[in-house]
Amino acid sequence: MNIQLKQLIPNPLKGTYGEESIWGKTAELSSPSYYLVNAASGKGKSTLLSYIYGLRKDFSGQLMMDEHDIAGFSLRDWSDVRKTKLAMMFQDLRLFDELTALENINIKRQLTNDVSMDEMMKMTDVLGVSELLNRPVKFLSMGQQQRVALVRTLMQPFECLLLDEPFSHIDAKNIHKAEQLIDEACKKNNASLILTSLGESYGLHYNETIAV
Amino acid sequence: MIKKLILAKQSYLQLSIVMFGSLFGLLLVMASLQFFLDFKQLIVNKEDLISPQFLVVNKRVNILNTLTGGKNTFTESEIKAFEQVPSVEKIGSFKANRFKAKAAFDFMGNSVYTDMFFEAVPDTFLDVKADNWDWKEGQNVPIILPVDYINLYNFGFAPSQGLPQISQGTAKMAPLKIKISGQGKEVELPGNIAGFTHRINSILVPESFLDYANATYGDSEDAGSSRIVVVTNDPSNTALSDYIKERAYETNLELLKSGKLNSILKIILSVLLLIGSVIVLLSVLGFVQYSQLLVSNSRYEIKTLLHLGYHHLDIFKYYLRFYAILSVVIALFAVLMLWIGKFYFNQMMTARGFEIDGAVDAWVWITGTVMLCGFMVINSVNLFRMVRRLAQAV
Repeated sequence: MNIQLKQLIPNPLKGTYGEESIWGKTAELSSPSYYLVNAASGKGKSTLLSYIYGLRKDFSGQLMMDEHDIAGFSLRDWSDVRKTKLAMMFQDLRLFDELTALENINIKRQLTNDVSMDEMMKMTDVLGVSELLNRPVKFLSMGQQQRVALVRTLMQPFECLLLDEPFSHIDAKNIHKAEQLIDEACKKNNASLILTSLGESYGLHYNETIAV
Repeated sequence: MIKKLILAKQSYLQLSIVMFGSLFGLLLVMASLQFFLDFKQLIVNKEDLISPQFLVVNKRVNILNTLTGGKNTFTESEIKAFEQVPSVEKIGSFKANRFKAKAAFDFMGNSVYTDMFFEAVPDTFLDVKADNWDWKEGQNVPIILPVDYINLYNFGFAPSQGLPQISQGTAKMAPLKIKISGQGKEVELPGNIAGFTHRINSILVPESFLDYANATYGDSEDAGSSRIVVVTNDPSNTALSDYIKERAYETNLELLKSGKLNSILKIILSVLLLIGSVIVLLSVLGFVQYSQLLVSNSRYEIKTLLHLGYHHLDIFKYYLRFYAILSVVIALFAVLMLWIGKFYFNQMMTARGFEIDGAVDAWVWITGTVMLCGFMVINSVNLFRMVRRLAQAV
């Protein structure tokens, strides 16, 4: 997938962003490269992912996805894109508190039918949350919830994986395992990765670092 | 799982109240409609229930008239005054023949002659549609008889004399000869019975015929009409019956009473129908409100599902299914209660000696179905728009 930013400027950041930032410039994010968006909070890391994922539209300039301006996407288009091309892990996770971890994962898995139950179980094993699958999410710790949300994010085919501060509550050992999982999934899908972080680059090798 | 997310946050008390409201409203509309139809079936003069009331009014005959031979006719000013009475819609005066008339008909091989009189009223006062009523010279003279005449013959005269009964159809086929004379002239015209009237107790011919015959054969001056037809649009208004009593006019006031009863019942049923419709409308609003509550209670869940890639139609389908189930529940209750109610109503009426049709009328089912479908459509459209609005608000 090829994502093009053309003079993209978020309305709330007009006039406040720095020279080196990606805002207002033309940039291209293409598969299968890995991109790290590294900046302090408030610079618009999440904003960039939200624009790409179609959650916010408060920007000027253009955002092209495989040569198509996303401004022209219909609700059906967005639904298709989110099922087959873009996978996103939200910073606030957006899990359903009342449902169990397994139900939360299955809500995405059954929508796309891309990942088998066995493959999913393997992922939860790797991240050490398979024991927790039948517990309601509200009883899990922040770190556990983050790992459940990551597994849910990977339950679909994608051409670009958007991860918004995915490791903020996870310990170093589990971060390493999670990175391996992410790398595997991206390789399998021949997908690009855009990961935001508050400054740490962790262990993955990134092709490019984006400043905001 | 998705059902658990978007339909879990119900307020069952509110849901029961709106469901009960719509069921109650629906039942009220359907039941009053059914009652209306049942009642209509019981009334002999079906048209009286919905059409204005017709009264034939004449002056009372007293001994003085008999002795002096004085005429009992309405003057023009009397008719004008009558027209001013509240609830009187219009008045038609009878015209009478001023020539001698006889009618002959073949009866069991013999020609039977009988002296006759004819009257005419304006066509708009007639309740019978007769062919060739628009009479012109040279045509058959059509005659309308009161339905009481043929009933008198069939149920009084014929059985006592060992004669066969005659249907209205047979009577209409019998040819008649009408002999009229006056001003020293005499003529025989062919005629036939064109229909039977419930409304006017007289032997009626077309006004055009009577005008022609009076002009050609009439012996006396036009003396005015001794009878008038009064059309009232509100038989329950006492002004009319008071006026008739006050002037010592005569009419069949029983008709007026049954008309009054009909119109009161009609009013009650209309009010019930109106209340039922208002309740249905309010419960539709109640459901619209409830849907808004339901959707806004699950706002986070719906938005998150949309962000995960669910299409808003996928989500709408769950709501649609939910409301379809509610509608089926309401429909089942309505059918059941209507059947039970109709069963007991029939028993009650049979015990009082009334024959009524046992089934709930098709129109009642159609009305109920249409209302429930309308209810479903309004709710679905409302829900669809709410879910789509959530999808559009990014």
